[in-house]
Amino acid sequence: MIRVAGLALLLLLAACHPRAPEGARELVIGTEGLYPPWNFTRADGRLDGFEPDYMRDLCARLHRRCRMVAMDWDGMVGALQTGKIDLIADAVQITPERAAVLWFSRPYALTTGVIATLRDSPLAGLPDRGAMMDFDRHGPDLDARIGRLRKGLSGKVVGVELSGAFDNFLNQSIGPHVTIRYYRTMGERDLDLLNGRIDATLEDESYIRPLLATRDGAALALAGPRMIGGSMGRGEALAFRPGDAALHDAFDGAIAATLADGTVRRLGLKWFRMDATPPVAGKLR
Amino acid sequence: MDFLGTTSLGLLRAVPVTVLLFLASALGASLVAAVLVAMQQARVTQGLARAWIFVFRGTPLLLQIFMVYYGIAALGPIRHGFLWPAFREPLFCAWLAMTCCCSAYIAEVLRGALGAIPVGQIEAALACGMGRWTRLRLIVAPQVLRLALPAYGNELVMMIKSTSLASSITVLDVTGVAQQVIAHSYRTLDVFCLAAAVYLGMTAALTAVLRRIERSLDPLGSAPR
Repeated sequence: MIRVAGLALLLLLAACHPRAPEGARELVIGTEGLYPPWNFTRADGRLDGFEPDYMRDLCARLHRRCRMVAMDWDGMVGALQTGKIDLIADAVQITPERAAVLWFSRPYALTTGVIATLRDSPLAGLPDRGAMMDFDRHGPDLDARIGRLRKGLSGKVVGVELSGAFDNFLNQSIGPHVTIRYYRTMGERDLDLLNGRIDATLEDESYIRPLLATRDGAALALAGPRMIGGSMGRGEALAFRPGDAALHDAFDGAIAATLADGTVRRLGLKWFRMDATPPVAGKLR
Repeated sequence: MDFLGTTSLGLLRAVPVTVLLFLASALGASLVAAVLVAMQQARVTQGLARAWIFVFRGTPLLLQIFMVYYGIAALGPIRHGFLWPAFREPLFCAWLAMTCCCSAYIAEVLRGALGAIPVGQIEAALACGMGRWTRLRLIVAPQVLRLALPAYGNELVMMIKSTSLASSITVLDVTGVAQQVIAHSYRTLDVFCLAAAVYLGMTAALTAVLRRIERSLDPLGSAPR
């Protein structure tokens, strides 16, 4: 009995043993696989989209073997913290809240948040249509726009993905004036937007624009301003375990190279039909 | 206030949602179950009752909740009909699915209790010239109530825990709030432990109530104290 227990313990220890030396080991990259056009799962189970393409490029530059695995977003940070994955490539927006528990690479894309609603909804006439609202540029202009947005959304039901960057923004900036519904996946939220259970959603433009082009999405329209900054973050970046400096710095260097040689621009045009290259700025961690 | 304190408060604030869903479904499911048992007594309606139990007991509750919430919403007549204001609400959809599902289980509990009443008693009642309703009121119902209670209580405890599935269709019950807190704090273990403690509190309260009823219905004093 004791011998069996000892053997089991030994096996367990072997399984938990620190991994093979860096460089030789395959990197496991977590992504959602449900967030087109950033990353999505094809009918045959293959991951495709901007990030699978981009990570292939980055891993080739770093001469590392990489494997992308699909998992729900709500478990991804936990999977990173417990070492089940090595980094996250899932259009993660750099928000102050996340920066407290994750190390971010420099951003490889910069997109805006937009409001989508049913074409025939009263919300379709929200003011400041298409105007850019930067929540990091404080001033009377921003305050006035926030005021108009609050008034327009007041009493409405807005659906967002749980733990998405927009969930925080709604809580902090629009707050008690709206009812917020939280969804575990974007697909469920889209269904409820289309069938009228929610009045609007706040979502990334890069996700909404392709949705509008689909047959079901034709019933939707963009409304109100485009938003950036604040708790919505400043661009999308890779996320690493805090302290994983070697991996973080290696990818940072590779990202810089892809920004400089136009790879990001090319992939942006391919998947988003727009150039989402972020402006050159200081490193964000 | 520290994280655990704030989180506990947030979870406790969601208790009314969980309790409301539980009480409403328990009431609905018990009524439907009584109807199902009655239907099983008549040959004409027996098949329908059996089919209901077969379907709702044989499929996962989570699936039923999704079918009511997303499936029925996709049907034009419902979406554009007079029922939409109800089906629009996630809490109503969760209640409907739980009522249908749990009624199947409770009906089986009641049927078992009904079958446990000795035939001799019914024969004696018939010999005394009791009519159908007198028999039900004086002989059958009181005994069914007592015999079914332990299994019925079991079912109710399961129902409290099943309410957590409502969080999958945006209901902010105790589990929904817990998931929300985790989504922002990334602290999985402590938040789920707190949520579990809240459920434990609710089931403990229910168990105490059930035990009390059991004891009051037990003339011989053989129920656990």
